[in-house]
Amino acid sequence: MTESVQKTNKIAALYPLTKFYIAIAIAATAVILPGIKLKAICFVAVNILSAASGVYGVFLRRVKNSVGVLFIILVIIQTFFTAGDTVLFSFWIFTAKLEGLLFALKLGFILANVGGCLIWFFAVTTEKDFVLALEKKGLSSKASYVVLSTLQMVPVLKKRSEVIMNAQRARGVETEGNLLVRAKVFVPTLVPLVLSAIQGTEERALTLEARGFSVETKSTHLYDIEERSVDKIMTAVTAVLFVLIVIGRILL
Amino acid sequence: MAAKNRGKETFSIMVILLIPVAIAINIVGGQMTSILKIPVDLDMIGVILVGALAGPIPAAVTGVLTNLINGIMDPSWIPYAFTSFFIGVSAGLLSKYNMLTKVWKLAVSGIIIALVATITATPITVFFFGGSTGGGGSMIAAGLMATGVQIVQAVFSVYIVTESIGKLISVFVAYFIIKVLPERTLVKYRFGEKFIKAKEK
Repeated sequence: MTESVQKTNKIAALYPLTKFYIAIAIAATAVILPGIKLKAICFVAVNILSAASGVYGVFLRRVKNSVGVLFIILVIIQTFFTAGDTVLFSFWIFTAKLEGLLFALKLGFILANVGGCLIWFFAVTTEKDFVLALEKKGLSSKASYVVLSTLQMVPVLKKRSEVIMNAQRARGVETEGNLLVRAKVFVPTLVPLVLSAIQGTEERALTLEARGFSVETKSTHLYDIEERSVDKIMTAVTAVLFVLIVIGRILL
Repeated sequence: MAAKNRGKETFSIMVILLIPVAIAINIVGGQMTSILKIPVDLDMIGVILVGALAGPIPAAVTGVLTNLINGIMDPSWIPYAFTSFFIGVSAGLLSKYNMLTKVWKLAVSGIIIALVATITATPITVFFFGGSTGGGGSMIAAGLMATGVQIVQAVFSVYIVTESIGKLISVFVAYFIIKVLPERTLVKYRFGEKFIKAKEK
């Protein structure tokens, strides 16, 4: 996400872990709520939350591409291919059953909620902030280095793979045509990519060691985020609401 | 003291630096198959590579992180972190017992990894996603179900075919990469020497 949205929007500006707790609480609520209707209402709430956080465009696109596709296939598979007695309609060799459809909707809305919460969380939180917050909670700095450097490396290597593919094309390697022709490009592109990346690690090892990467003292940060009082209040409110929902679910 | 040294050996700085590269290879490899429209999943090459060079635990970490980082964009990756964990462990163990050094051994290893992937991925697809995987595979699975096959069996049969092809190719690509890596790089990893010896023969 862009830094500007994060600063101007009150929800997006919350501490990463506070947002994480909210996401987990909503996802867990969606799982324990009974009935398809309540789960659907919960999903509407996730949508409203994303819109209020100013990331609805990103949210909608990612939900459509991941959970949306799953949901549709899930409904098709479960409606037509599970055993059930109540037949809704049938054509050719397919018979739609009510039991399958209800199961698919129930599972589908759980997936949509859990997936939607995670998508919302990563849309309003930069990975850098999240990892830093985790590090403050005791994640080792080496683990956070692995995560952050991976996130940096993916776009770099992707760009380089395109460059290599173009270079190989210039040398006469076919990248279009039938399956076998296309499959043959895979190795000449991937191998130079991997080799250069692995060679690069040796230099990076020296660079990191020169800066005391393996030193076992507490590291300091150039970039820092603070947990404010509003974040603590929000965490407490989320916890209380979630406990109330759990109690309500057990009693009702 | 010995225990501490062993820990350092498993996660030496070279391994810590190899893991991000391997995850990026997984992700870029996966994207390349979709750019080139190759209907096989080649998104575990990095995991197999780490398993071959650095052993089961770093490979398992690589696998789990690959799925978590892919999960940022598409959360349906996250449950399959379980599968990637076991793919990593099996690739590492196969390397430990010198099963990644000859062509026939690679073929056997590819099948073993494919079996591990199928056995661990099928329950996730069936119970978490009700048999739907979101890819072309679920259409074939749906076709099988239309002929009266149970969901578990349909998903399993689709996976065993797609995974066998994908993992066999991945194992060979990973081996090919190791073969062209210079010895001075190989020697810095725990199992690197195995491949140097294999080269000499």
